[in-house]
Amino acid sequence: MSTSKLFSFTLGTLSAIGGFIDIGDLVADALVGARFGLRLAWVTVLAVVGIMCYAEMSGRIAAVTKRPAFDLARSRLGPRYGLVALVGAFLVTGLLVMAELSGIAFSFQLLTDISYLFWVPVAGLVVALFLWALPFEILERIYGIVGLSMLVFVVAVWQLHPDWGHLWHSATTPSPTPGETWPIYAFLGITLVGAQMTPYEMFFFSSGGVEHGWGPRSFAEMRTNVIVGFPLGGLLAIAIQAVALVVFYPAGIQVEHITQTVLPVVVALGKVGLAFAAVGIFAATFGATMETLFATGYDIAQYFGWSYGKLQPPAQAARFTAVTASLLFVSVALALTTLNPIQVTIVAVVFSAMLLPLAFLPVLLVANDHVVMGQYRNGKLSNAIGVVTLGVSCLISVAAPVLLVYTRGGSG
Amino acid sequence: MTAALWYLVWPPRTQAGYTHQAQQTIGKFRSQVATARLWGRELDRDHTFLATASVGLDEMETDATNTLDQFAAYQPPAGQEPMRTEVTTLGDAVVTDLGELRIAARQGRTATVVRKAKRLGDLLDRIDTTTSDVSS
Repeated sequence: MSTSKLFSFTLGTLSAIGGFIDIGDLVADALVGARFGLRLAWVTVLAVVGIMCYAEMSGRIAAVTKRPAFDLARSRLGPRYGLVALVGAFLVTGLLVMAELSGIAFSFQLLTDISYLFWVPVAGLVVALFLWALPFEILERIYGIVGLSMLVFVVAVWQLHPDWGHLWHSATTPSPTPGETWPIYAFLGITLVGAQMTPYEMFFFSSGGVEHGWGPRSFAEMRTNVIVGFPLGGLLAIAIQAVALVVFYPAGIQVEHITQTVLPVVVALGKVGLAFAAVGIFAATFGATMETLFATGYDIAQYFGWSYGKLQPPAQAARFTAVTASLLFVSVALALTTLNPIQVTIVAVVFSAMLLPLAFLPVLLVANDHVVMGQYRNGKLSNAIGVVTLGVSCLISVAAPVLLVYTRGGSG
Repeated sequence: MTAALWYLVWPPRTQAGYTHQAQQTIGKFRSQVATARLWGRELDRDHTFLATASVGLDEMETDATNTLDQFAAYQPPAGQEPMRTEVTTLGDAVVTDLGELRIAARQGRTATVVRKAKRLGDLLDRIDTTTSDVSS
């Protein structure tokens, strides 16, 4: 395989590392693993299948129409629907930018013992400089590849020499662990869905496809990105849950910090593992900062019909550039208020789960539109998975606020 | 929305609610102490940098302080003052021990951190005893 072919898959890897495994997932997976072991791993499997289906549809729409998902949502369902989806996505993704920036700062804190608050402005500056100075493709490749160091969590599972029978039993027992309740089990399942099926992954993936100039001939590349990227994210998520099960569950440890997420890697692999984990967290949160920033910029620019894109010089997409720069600045300021980024993330991913139907419905409708998609419209398999995923997301959007309050945010 | 927010911050008013809160508080103490002990053990095995362990220990001390403050702020229902005393006394011990660990780590005294972390086993035993007392 040529180097350019290999690198063409980095958008999927970036979507996986930065989208699937962001700060929300780093905390949610470890938290779930510590309390329920692998008993919610099936949620991750379903989330991977669902997000793969919708990412493929979004990528196909972008390749056929040369327009990304949100742009089509507005034209398909009208400006009011588009505005509701825009405001929802903006609030959730905006909060996530702040949390991801804090995640970058946490990765620096891990190795320096200097408060993350000191590193937040530094992280903002680094993000701004990189986004300004480096082309999209280079950024994508650097963070897609550096992010692979997150695989240290998979290695850690092996190195901890777990009882594989116990892991399998946990993964095939879809019920709460002793002492836990069904409402908390359901709430944390929803938290996982919100952390793993973020709408911005889809928007970023399809907008990135437009920037890459995808056409029908790019289907193989696009699908390979989907098939490689998201299952990779799912594998990492399950690995984090597994190491938390092995190290935390027997000791009764509850996870509330990123430092706790890396502790099993420290136990398994020592300082080398810790270094890989810190680099991986940096790459994942940096990638997620980039994705959330761009996804928000894309959403707003596409809704108002502005020119947008990282591939264009900033002067030619001045309003897009101004929106992303302003959001970055506001996020740095928000992070410096000492608002707990982990708690913000948990709330944001629950609200993100509630908004999923707003993101999925227009994509499903457009992907089935014969006039727009012609011969490339959805087949039976895509529709079956898409409809089931949409149905489940509708149930989640109703159950999430009730469970959020009833379980007091999962604390019981 | 107001009702939901009210429910989220509503303090325990019944004996059962207060006991449940006490059990949750002790569970958090156990988690914080067990995490700190693990950092100490990994430092002993030379599996982690002192700086990283120091971050972890600092977080556990801060969490323990917040956990203790939150529980202490609840008004105990009539007859449950002894439970409050037992849990807050335990919390004071947890915060003190974790604070000593954090101070030693920040001062670069690795051997002290390792020694004190090993002694957290006694504190975990005391936490288990308190758990039994509260549950009975």
